[in-house]
Amino acid sequence: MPLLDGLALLLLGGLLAGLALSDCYWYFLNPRFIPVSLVTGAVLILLAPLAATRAPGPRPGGVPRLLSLGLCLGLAALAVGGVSVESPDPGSAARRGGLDFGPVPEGPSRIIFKGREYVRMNLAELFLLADQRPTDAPARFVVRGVVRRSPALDGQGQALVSRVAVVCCLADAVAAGFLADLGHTPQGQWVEVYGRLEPLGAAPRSSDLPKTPEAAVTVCNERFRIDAEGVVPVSQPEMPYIFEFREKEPYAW
Amino acid sequence: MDFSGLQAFAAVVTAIVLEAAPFLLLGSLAAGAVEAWMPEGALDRLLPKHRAGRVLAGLLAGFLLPACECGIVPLARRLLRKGVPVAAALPYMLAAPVVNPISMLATWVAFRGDWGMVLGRVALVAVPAAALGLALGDRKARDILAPGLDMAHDAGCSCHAHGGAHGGSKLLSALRHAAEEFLDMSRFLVLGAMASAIFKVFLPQGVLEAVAGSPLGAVAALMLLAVLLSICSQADAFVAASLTMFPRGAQLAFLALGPMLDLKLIPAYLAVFRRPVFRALVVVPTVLIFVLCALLTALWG
Repeated sequence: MPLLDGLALLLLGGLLAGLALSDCYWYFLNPRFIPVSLVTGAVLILLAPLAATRAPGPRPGGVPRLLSLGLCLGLAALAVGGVSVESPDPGSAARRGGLDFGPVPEGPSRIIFKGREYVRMNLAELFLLADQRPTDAPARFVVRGVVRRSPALDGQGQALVSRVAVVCCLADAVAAGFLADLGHTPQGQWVEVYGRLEPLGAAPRSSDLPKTPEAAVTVCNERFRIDAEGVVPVSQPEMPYIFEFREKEPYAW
Repeated sequence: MDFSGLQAFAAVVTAIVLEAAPFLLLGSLAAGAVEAWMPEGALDRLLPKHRAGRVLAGLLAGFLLPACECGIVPLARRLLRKGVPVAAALPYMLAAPVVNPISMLATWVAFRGDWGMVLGRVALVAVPAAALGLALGDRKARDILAPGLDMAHDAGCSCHAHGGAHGGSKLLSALRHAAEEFLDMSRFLVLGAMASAIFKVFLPQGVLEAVAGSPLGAVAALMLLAVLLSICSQADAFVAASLTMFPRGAQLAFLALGPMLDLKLIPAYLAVFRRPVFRALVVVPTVLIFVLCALLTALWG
């Protein structure tokens, strides 16, 4: 049994360190925690020989703890396998390198679209501003998100454009978004929405909102919707989740 | 990026374990250090003699020894075994995940500098923590700890007199205890993560709204959500802040209960404490927070 205990710690430590050095860490945790996971993995690996060489003897709960850790490792393998299969652009993920500490701002903070200037920001930033300081929100903005539809919203000629925001890990993921008229853009399509905030008449019931598989909670801004002046289909961003929130320009994108 | 249900479940379990592992390891290392270096009864001599003073010391100890709920149970258990009075150790275990600078700062940031939410959260955690400390403060550690499971020490560890028979050094002894503690507590973490992931992935959107039509329903719904989601006390404020459809009193209930009672903690409490104490750890925070937050919601919304 001590040998198995040591092996369990070794594998768990290896999982943490391996994920921290991999391209799919962001799928589980905010990349700013990479150093923490790396150190934790290393310490667990160092503790493994101590667990493996403890005095032998019966141990209450020894089997359940090994089973639970084995199950955990199996689930991690399944989840990591899912990332590898589903990664939209493995090349770009590989270019990011292992020790990347967060999303890199791309391009200018303002862009011109059809002759008008728009401020680039992410949906979580817009959500927080609209909720708490709507007067500080840019007059015109462009956000990226995925189109989510439900029968109830379809009936109103609306759809939800949302994006998953993560503070620490997937467990606290919240899909935050706005209602907008997105035309016939299909469910699951990534889009850039150019537009302005306009007051939302009646907030939808949460049961009318489409569920986001990655997030326990999907929230739609209850005060504003987006008056969409342009909807441009785009490919899924290299980093689909939002990990960074800024209060003023230049916003994270 | 389309998730199947099983993959989403696996991803959430992995994410929770990855997130909690560093804190569990820190708690285990601290517990190992306590075991190896702290003489029995040493802290007891430093603490106030009156029960109320001990409770207060336990409530504020998170400022000196911050910990999140993922690692607090093994540390509290080890402190109890080292003679720290129940009147201080229980309030510390319940309050430290919230009454510490990191968690308070996270709450302040998530609610955009709203000190009412920060102090309200601290107060709501302090009330049941103090109540349990006062009520159980006259007990000995052996009266509240489960007899069957001693995670590191009694079950196969041969480090006689804590002096480090393995390798002859206290450091090695501390690390061995930490490894054992981590292994033992990790099974409760995995169990809790799996239970939480089931609710996260398969809970239909709108279920909470269905029971949240009234102020009392809103408080109850977010308390249930806090238990089911089992979010770390340093991140839960950001989720609470996003639940704008709920009144502030309900958001406070979410923030106060989760760090004291969630699906990661319940199996750990069950394993570490005797049944009557386990029941008290579940019932007292739940009832007190519900009553207080229902009052807050009725008064201020």
